[in-house]
Amino acid sequence: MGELKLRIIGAGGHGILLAGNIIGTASILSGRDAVMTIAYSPAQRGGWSRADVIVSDERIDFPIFDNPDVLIATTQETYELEVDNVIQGGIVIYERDLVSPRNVPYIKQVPIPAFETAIKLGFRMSANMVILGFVNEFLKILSHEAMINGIKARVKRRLDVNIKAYEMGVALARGVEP
Amino acid sequence: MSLRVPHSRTDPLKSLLRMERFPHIWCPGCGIGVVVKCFVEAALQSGIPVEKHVVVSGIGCTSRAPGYIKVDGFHVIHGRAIPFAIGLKTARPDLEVTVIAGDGDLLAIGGNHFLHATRRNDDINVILVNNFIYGMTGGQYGPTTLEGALTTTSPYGFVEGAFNVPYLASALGANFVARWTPLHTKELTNTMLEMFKVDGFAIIEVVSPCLIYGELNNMPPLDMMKWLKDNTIIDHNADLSKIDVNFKKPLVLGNFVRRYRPSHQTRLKELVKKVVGGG
Amino acid sequence: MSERVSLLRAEEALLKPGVYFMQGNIAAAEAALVAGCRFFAGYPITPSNEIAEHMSRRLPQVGGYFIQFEDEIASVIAISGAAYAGVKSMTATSGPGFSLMQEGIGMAAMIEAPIVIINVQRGGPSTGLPTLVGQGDVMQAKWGSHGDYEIVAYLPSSVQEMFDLTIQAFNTAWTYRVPVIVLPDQRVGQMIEKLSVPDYNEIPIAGRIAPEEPPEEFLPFNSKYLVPPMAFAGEGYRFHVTSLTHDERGYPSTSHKISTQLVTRLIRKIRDNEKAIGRYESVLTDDANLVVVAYGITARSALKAVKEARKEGLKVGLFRPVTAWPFPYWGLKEAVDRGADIVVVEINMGQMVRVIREHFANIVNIHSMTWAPGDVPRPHDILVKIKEVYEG
Repeated sequence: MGELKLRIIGAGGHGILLAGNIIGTASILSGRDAVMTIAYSPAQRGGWSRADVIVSDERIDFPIFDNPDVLIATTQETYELEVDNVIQGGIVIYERDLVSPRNVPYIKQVPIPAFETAIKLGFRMSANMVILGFVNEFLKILSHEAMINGIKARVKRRLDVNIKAYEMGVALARGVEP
Repeated sequence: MSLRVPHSRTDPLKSLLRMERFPHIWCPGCGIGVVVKCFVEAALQSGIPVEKHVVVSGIGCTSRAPGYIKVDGFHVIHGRAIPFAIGLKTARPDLEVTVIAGDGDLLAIGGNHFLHATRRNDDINVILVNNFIYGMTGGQYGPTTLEGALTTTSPYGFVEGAFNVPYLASALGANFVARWTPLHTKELTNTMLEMFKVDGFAIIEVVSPCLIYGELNNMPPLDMMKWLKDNTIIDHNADLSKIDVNFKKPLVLGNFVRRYRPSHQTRLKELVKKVVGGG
Repeated sequence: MSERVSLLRAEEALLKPGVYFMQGNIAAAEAALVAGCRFFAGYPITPSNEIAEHMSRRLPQVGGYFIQFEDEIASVIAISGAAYAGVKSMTATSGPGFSLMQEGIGMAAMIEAPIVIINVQRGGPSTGLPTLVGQGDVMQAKWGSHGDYEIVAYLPSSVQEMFDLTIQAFNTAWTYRVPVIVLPDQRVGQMIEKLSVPDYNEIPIAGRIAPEEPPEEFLPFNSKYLVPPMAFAGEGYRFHVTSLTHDERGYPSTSHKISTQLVTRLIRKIRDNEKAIGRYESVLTDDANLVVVAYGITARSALKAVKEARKEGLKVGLFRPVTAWPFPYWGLKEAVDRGADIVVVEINMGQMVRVIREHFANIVNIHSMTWAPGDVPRPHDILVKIKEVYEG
């Protein structure tokens, strides 16, 4: 796989940092290197949070990047903030019901009904797990077993529902052309 | 002035004094030496092994006291005796830690530590010698200088107010608050013995004559001692709001406050027990 | 500590050997526990708060104590007190708090109290950029308190080093009776990365050298030693300690002979051991015509720039000081022995470059790449500078 630069951004409470932590944890548990840096909007309450994650087969020299290979955005505001930073040929995965995408040439944009799926499951807070399953199936970052190990290492409450949400994300991605 | 003690008691007291360091640095008529003597007597009578007694001080005339007392002693930077003492006591709860320092050190530069150590109820003893002035640096005004007093930095008279130390300490929640003078050696020694028993923040204010203050304010130490002898009232139940130091009215002394709030260190120990599940 | 839970129990509560995805600040806190730290005193300040928060949760689990003091001054003083009571102790802070601690750091150097201070550097001066990166405290770490003294400062550049160097900081502090500063920048402190915790028996842990003499013969600052054995309060030595200039007995002295003896020893105990304490890393310097000097997060960017330069055929290497103080000039000498130019990259207006000029001016060409606090120079930025110097 080489190196993947992934930027996850969304509103506070969307579980952005947990998603980043799970990808990082799952990566190092499966022998890869990973690093995450975090940023917040200047307003801590009601603002956004951003997790920049690098996953690599080799040791990561520099943990910071400006232009992600893949952007995941869960709100219109954060989508607008970051969409132009994605590299040419990069991918944007956005929350279908909260983001109206605009036409950006040379990038692939994929909607995902993460919140709708999570609400169907009866646990809106698991939208980040739906995204995680979707992204991992879509991009083949790690094996699903490895990612679920990451979830188990990081998620303390309602583990079963979270894993179910992950699996529903995987199923959603199987219906999408990569 | 060297410390003279009656022959009959020379040996036990000397065992807790660093005799090789005498003569001491204090001026004739100063009350700090008497505080040292009372502390040494109290420490010997306390029943606490001498190796468990620790004295800590900051900078100033009073802060030189630990340098003459033969127990583990720490003479640290200006204003910071209290946090150093808290570090010692927290790390080793079996130590009996006493801060001996002056009004400027404890209430001006170290005022914030005094405030919060009292609030937290840290289990330390504080002997605050109040001589109304920064003596060691030559006579500048401080947080207990009396209104109108002449000092080297208030040549036209002091225009601020002074702390009422027992009232302040009581308001902050101290478990033990007392005030004595170097003329009341028996009471002071006994009060120190009481202080050692307190689990929590304990403070004794010692209102002391000072040559520097006296020279600037027409009140030589001998006159001040006479005044203290003739103008003090012992009232353990005094209204602390009315016992500010003022040479126009009698000075009120006593053991004013005794509370039993568990100390910060006791509560930290309980916390550890709770967290580790009975330890 | 007299009422400590059993050591076995404490070890069970330490971070288990294994692999973690962990934040730098938290790795430093866990490392402190492994090193034996059982007292933490601190005051809230961004971006070091995770250390205090983590210690407040973890210390009681290993039988230790946490106090959030009224300010950084009390915090740094309290840990000196705790160290003299025999308990390994630490504080953590950032720029403004580090400034407030300076008098206490000088005191710890003077009374030879082994303490560890983690200063997670943010952008300055003054309140500056509380949440953003800076490397502007390198000089303050060395010269921050008044008078002549020596300290040790480490420059971690990864989460792994936040762990390893914090343990090393405790070992150095207790081996040399000196305040030791761990000096990450905000990026290294707050990034989350892989941490490998080895088996405990692979981690050397240093403690005090205890006095051998009976109390009546004990001199707390015996000048026959470079590092005098340390007695703890309450052990019966009944010793005296003062932050005034003092003789071997710990008594104040104004004698010039005593002052010379004391200050010389305080300096010599670090300078005579600089090669045992100082650490560095050299990458691709063997054949280099140009050596980039960088530390902390900047070294990570520089490493990438150096690799890019190599791809373009430029013979460029990286020298990374792992100790700021003592500065490992002997390692840099080896790296530039062929007459290589030096480019110093740091997130400040030129601090470490001054030390390098002290050692290498008129020997090799020294260039400074300054960078205002708030962000990290990208590999591309450093590569531009490399090419400018290389081809210039």
